[in-house]
Amino acid sequence: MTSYLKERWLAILETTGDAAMMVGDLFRSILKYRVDGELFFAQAGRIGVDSLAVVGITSIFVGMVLALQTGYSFMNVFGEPLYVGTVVGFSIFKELGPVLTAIVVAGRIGASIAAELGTMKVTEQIDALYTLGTSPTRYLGVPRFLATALMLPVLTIYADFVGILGGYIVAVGKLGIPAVVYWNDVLINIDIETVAHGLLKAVAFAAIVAVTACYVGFTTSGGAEGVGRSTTKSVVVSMVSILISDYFLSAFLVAVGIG
Amino acid sequence: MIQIRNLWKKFGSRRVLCGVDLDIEEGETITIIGGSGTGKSVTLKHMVGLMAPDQGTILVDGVDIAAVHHEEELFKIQNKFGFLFQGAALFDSLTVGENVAFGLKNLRPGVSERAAMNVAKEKLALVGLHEVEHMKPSELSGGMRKRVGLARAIAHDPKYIVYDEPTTGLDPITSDVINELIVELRRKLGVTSVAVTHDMVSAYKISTRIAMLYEGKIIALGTPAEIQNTSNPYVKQFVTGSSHGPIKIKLRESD
Repeated sequence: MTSYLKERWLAILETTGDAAMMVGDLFRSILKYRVDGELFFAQAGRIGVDSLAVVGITSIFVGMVLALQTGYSFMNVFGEPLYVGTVVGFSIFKELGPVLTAIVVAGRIGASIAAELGTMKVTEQIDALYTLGTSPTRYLGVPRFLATALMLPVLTIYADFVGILGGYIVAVGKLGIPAVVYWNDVLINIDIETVAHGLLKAVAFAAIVAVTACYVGFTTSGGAEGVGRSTTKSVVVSMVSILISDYFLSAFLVAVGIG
Repeated sequence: MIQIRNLWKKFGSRRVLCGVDLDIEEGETITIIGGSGTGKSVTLKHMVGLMAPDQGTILVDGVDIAAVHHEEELFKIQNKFGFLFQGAALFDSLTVGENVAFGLKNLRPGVSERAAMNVAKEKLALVGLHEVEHMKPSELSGGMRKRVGLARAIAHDPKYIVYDEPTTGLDPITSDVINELIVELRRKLGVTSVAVTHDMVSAYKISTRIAMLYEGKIIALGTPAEIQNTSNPYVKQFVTGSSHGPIKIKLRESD
């Protein structure tokens, strides 16, 4: 039992060390070499444009259910649906927008990056890149990392607005709150710090998703089964890391006065 | 010249290479034979810097590739090599022409896109392929993929070509076509080649020397004729493909 735990602990340390080295390599490549625009925009399109529909659907329904639950709960307590816009706005901008978008992107894009790079690893395409004078981190990792880091905050802003719109539909259409009251509730309480709070977290989540997917992809072994394992691992590790880091990031940002 | 000295490598608790020593002379084609999992491909990957040894040196024209840690320096040495991977390892997202031109653009900075594509066409013609530049790797047969892989390996005119199981998975006739190509490349380009295979027909045809790897060490080295007529019972069993002899393969893990 002790030796098993020791082995597991060493494996975790080794993985963490390797991942940290890959992150170092990523940043060194970004600072030292010109980023290939064609590869970057191809990835940005894949991550951003192709995720619009799923992020939109998720966000509109999250906004709708949030307005519905808040409205009914406050009606039970205060006798009328107060502060629906405030609750929807704060929840979406600070938490649900960045977190849910990151989870959708981890499931959709993180899995696809891990599977793609994993397949390239087991079919020796990664080794082939080395022998052809190309660093896989620079050629494959950097465009994916930068595209995720740019597109996740953009998708988060989009998710925020769609979520607020979802809340508006239920607040005005179902709960009978006047549109001007809903918008006032949203706008009066949402300041630049609140938006920055959500966006800074989105950048951190983007780094988690991209680094996890690239690292898991680059270290895939064991053929088709290994690619399947890597895909699942990338999604699970990303999602858990997003949720854990969300608490600490939120606590830190609040402590330094951002949101 | 490539000089491998006292090369050791283990994966987890499994020792794969236990002190490999091998000299590869200029202009020769040396083939490393041995059973599955004996470390043939691992030896090749050490030679081109894709793996780092636990112990030992690999001197490529006098420079120890195992001691080079700076990426740019490593690329300079890798520039001397062309590598034909077992499954060809063509990039799925690129066309055949882009695959062949890929290394050229990276390893020869300053080569224009157009010049690289012209070289790609020329190298594809050298391996007997015409009008395939715009096809995707998924549209090619196994033999064609190997030939494209070979064209990509020789695109930057390397000094050394490394073949990892060049005929595995191919029918006998296509295998012979690949063997002929390897022999022709040595004749036409004068390159030094290292191949690993367990296909003895291929080994006899393409090699000037054959080395046998067994239990992590080179146990025999000689010309194809010497290997064919060897009295070493291990080599004899392997080259004749007999299940009876000193090399024991477990039928079951419990054996």
